[in-house]
Amino acid sequence: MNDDFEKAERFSQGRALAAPFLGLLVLLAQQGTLYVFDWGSDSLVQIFVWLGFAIVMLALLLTGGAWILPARVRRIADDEVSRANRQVAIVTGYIVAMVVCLLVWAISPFEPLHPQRAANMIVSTSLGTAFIAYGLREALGNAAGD
Amino acid sequence: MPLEIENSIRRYREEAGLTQAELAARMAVSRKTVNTVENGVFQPSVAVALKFAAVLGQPVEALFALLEEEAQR
Repeated sequence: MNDDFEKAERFSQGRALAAPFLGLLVLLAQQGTLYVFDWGSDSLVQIFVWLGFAIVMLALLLTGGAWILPARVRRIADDEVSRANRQVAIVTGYIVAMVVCLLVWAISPFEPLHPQRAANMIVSTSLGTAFIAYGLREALGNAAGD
Repeated sequence: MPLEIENSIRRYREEAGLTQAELAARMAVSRKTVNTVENGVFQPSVAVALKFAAVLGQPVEALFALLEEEAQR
């Protein structure tokens, strides 16, 4: 069996394991479990670290990762089943974003939210659930068989 | 979306003496693709169906068929 295929398989299986944990990490971070945000702070570190983290997560979701692997390996690891799983994950994340937006709309007159906090909630829950959905679908596809 | 086709991939793959991984490597797709198509979880594109046919040495019609209820619509 060729080397490119084995590299792609190893990456694909690693991605299926890592994606749900990345999703959970994003959700925990949003809850303030790992870091407590100072909402409205003009700290450039806080702004750009979270912004950079969210942009990288979004890019991973949209592309499937494997940025430093050779093109042929990337093509195998990102074949049509992976792309279809990612589409489902993105739709899941979109729906979660919509639901959270609606909740923010409904609740914020009674429990005012800083805009930065609202944006963090929407992006984090959306990305977190998308990654969990992607990882689970990839893992199910990898399961069983011979 | 419910699947509209059934397939005989596993039968021909086993006749050829290939594992899912070996078939996937020859098709340049992931083993996940072979697994999900075989188990009827994923409906492949025309390109992947043709790859299955080319590697297994069978016509596409021998590997994939419309489900009876779909064929009768």
